[in-house]
Formats: sequence, C-alpha cells, structure tokens
Amino acid sequence: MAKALLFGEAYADEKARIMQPLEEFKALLNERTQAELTATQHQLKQQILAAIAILMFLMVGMIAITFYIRRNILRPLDNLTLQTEAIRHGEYSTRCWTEGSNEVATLGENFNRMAIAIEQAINRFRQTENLLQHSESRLKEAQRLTQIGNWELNLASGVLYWSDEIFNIFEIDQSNFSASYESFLSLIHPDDRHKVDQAYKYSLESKVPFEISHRLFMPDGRIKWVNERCKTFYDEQGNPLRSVGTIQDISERIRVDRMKREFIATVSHELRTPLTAIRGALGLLKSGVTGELPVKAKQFVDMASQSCERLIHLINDLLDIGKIEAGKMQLKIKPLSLQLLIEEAIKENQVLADQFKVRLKLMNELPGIMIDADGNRIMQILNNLLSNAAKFSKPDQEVQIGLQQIDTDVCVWVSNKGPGISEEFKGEVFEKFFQSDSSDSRQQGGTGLGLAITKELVELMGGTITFESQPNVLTTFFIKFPISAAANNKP
Amino acid sequence: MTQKLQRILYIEDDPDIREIVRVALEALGGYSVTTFDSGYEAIKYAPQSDAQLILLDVMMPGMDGVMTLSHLRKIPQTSDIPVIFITAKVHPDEISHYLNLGAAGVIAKPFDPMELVFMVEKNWTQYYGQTS
Repeated sequence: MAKALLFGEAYADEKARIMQPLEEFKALLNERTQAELTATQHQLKQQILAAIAILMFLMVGMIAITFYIRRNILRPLDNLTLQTEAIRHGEYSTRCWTEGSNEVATLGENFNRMAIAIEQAINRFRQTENLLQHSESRLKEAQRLTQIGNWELNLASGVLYWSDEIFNIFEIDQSNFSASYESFLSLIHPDDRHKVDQAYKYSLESKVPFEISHRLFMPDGRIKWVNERCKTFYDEQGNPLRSVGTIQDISERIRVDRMKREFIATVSHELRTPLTAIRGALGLLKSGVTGELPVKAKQFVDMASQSCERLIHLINDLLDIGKIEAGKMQLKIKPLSLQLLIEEAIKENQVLADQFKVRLKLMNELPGIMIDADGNRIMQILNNLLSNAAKFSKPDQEVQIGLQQIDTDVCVWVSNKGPGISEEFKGEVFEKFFQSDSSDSRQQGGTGLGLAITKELVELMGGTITFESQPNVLTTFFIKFPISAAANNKP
Repeated sequence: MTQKLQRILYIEDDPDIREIVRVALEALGGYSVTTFDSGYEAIKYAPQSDAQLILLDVMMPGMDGVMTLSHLRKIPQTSDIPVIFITAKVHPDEISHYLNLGAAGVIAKPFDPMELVFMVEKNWTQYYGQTS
C-alpha cells in the first residue's frame, strides 16, 4: 500500500501541485539572484575601473614627482656633490648647475659664488706664492753669487736656521745635519773657535752687533776664510730673543790679498838689491872717491840720485801700506814727549825746507805732554806733514808748527800758505795715490802714499787727523792723540 | 876702551854691491876690507883672517847669512868677532830675530855709502860699549 501510495498517480499529482509554487519560487529566486548578481558585478566592475583609474593617476603623479625630484633636486645635488669633489681635488674653475628657482638652485648659486671666491683667493694666493718663490729664488741666487748665507738662532728654543748657502759654504749635506750653535762651533777652525764663541757671547751681553773673520776647518783638511756679521734682538725687558747673522766665504779675497801682499813684499825686496848698487855707485861718485866730477856730470849724478831716493821712498811706502793692510804693522808703544819729537822732526826737515827756501818754525811749547806711541812712526808722520808743508810752500814763506792741549788730548798742527787743497779734492786727500795735480808729483817728489800712510799710522796709535784749507791762504793739518794716562803731567 | 876698527870682512853674493861696499869702506872709512862671495868661502877663509868685524849679507844662495853666522860662531877663531847684517830684509820681526842670534847690528839696504862708514862705526862703538 505504501508502495502504491508512493508510486500512484495521486502522489505525482499531489507532488506536482505542491512543487509548482516551489518551482516558481525557485525560478523567481534564480531570476532575482541573477539580476542582483549582474548589478553587483557591474558595480564592482565600475569600482575596479575607478580604482585602476586612481592608481593610474597616482602612478603618473608619482612618476611626475620622481621626475621633478630627479631633475630639480637629485641631479643638481649629484652635480653639486661632483663639483664639491672637483674642488676638493683643486679644480677651482668648476661650476654647478643652477637651473630652476628652488632652494637647490639657490644652493647651487651660492656654491658657485663660493667657488668663485675660492678661485679668486686661490689665484691671489698662487700669485703671492709665485712672487714669494721668485723672490726666494732671487735671494738664493744672490746668496750663491755673493757667497753670503744667512742664519737665525731662536734663543728660547735653540733652533738654528741656516740658508742653503750656509750649507754650501760649510759643504754639508742638508738632509743629514741638524744645525745647532754647537754644531756650528764644531765646524770652526780649532784655533778660532774660542775667539768666535767669545765674540758672540760678548755681543749678546753688550747688545753690540759684531763682525768677525775666522777660519773654517774642512773635513779634508782645507781651510776656508769666512766673514761673520751678527745682531741680536731683545724684548722690552732686555732679554735676548733671537740672533740673526750672515756668513760670507771670503777665502778667495784672502788668497788674492795675500798674493798681492807677497808680490809687493817680494818685488820691494828684489828692487832693494839693484837699488843698493845704484845708490851706492851714485853715492861714491858724489863723494869724490873717483876724483872730482865735471859740473855737468855732477848735475846728472844728482838727478839720478834724487830719482833713486824717490824710488826707495816709494818702495818703503808700498811696504808700509802692505803691512798696514795686512794688519801686520807692529808698533812699539811707549810714553814719549811729543815736543821732543817735533823738535827733532823740525831739525831733520829743515835741510829739505832749505832747498825750497822755507823756514820751519815751532810756535809754542808744551814740554810736559806725553803720548803713548811708537817714536819711529810719530817721526814718520811728522816728517810727512813737515816735508809736504815745506814742498808746497812758496820761497821765503814759513811753515808753522804748534801744540795745543784740548781736554785729555793733545793736538799738533802744521800749517803752510801754499796752494792748499781745493774743495773738489777735499774728500780724497787721504786716498792712496792722491795728488791734487798729477804734475805736482814729479816736481815735489811725492809718492802719493804719504798722507794715506800718515792717516793709517795716526789711527793705529789711537789718534785722528783732519785738515782745513783755504787755497793760497792757509792750509793746516791737525793730528790729535790722547795724552798718556801713565805719564800724564810728569815734568 | 874700544879698540880702533881697521880690518873688516864682508860677505856678499852680489858683485856690484860687494865692490861698492869695499870701495866705500876703504876710500871713505880708511879700513882694510876683505870680501867673500859666499858663506862657504867665509867659513873656509875667515879663520885665517885677522878681521875685527864681519859684515854679512842675509839672502845668499846655498848658505844664507843666518846659517853662516851660526857656523862662524862655532869656529874658535871667529866665534868672538862681532857680525853686522847688511840686508834688505828689515821687517821689525826680522831685525829682532837677527839681534837675538847675536848680531851686533843691522844695516838696511839700500844704504847711502856716505852713511855706511858712520853706521859701521856706530854699531862697532855700541857693541863694545855694551860688552865692556
């Protein structure tokens, strides 16, 4: 029954009747779902499209911004970085981009201004550096040519600077030598070391600059002569700060001077031998041992004799000049009465003055005055002044000689009324071979060395020599010596 | 008392000067003069001479005046004879060197022959004045 019930038509009909609304509902549901789905799908599509559109827009914006950043910020910054690097490597002419008007462009412009300023500063610096190098090379050249080097000693640190030329003079390799005062002393000839050290120390104490010539002892045994000048600077309290000085190689000058002196000495000595024979032979002829000479022959013998005397005088003067210049003029200093020497000189020179009909006259006396001097050299000085005064006087004129005490000095004056010394020659009177008129020399028998030697001798004995001249009126030479302290005012 | 100077011995290599000095001393001073032209000759012959004074040149080839003097001093016959140098080398140092060697005096060349006799006499008198 159940079976019949289940599979009967009634069931099917019933079922169909029941199912129909369901089927209708189902269809309706499907239809509505389909419609909603389609609408949703459409909406979603639209939203996706919108999202894509926004994304696209954003992407374009991003790209634009990136492009903008790259173009206006990153690249200029990169460029700036590159230019900074370039400047770091010394390319001061470099400039960076300054496109646009943003801060980076301003930065670039400022950077460029800075680069220009740096370039100008560097150019000025280079110009100054060039000038400095130029002047330094000129200084070096000058030092090389004159063989003068300079040094500076910092007295606080003990650091000693030597210029290249000093290293050249000392023949020392700069690279393995450190200059110090001690190392400098060690290069000096042992015999001169103490002298130089003392001179420097005395100069430091006395604050007086000094000049000294001394020898250097080279490692290979050679001797070099150098001349040093030194000056020290002090602070306000008088403490020494630094010493500066120069060293000049004077070996060549010393060598030439020595050769010149030796030459003069040798020639002078060699000349003395034949002159001895000439003077001797003429003297014997004049003495009459060979019999009385005819008048004319006697005149010629006198002429030869006078020339011979002049030659001997010249040789003696040359030897004196040589000795004075070499610093080898030896003086035997002792207290002497100046008046006695003057009286002796007047007596000796009156013989010569007689030839010119000139009288030598002592105007006053100062018998008590003594000076410390070499008697022979004082006589040489007086002989020179008296013979000059006599030779340049006119016949029947007088050469006056006087003495005068001036404080602690004594002055001897010798005056004549001869032609004198004109203004233009006044500066050259004590020069070697000075003669106001070259024709005078032969006539007056001078060597041109007399006054030069006289001045040197006077100064060697601590005196001074001056003159006043009014041509053809009065010419006076004054020599002044300190009065002897030891023998002062002794009767 | 100083004895009178009569006999002089002169040693000089230059023949002209030798002759002039000889004539000057003989004619103007009245001395008897013997001359030699080198130190060697002087040493050889001086001991036989009866010279009272020796005049000696300094610059001579071979044996110079200084060496000649030291030899003469070693020979008994000549050791006491005073010696005067006649020389062109008359630097103060040189003069004192000669005097230290025992020279009685130094006469500088070139000399005036008229004064030579006077200078010789002066040195002679001074020498005996000091030693007596």
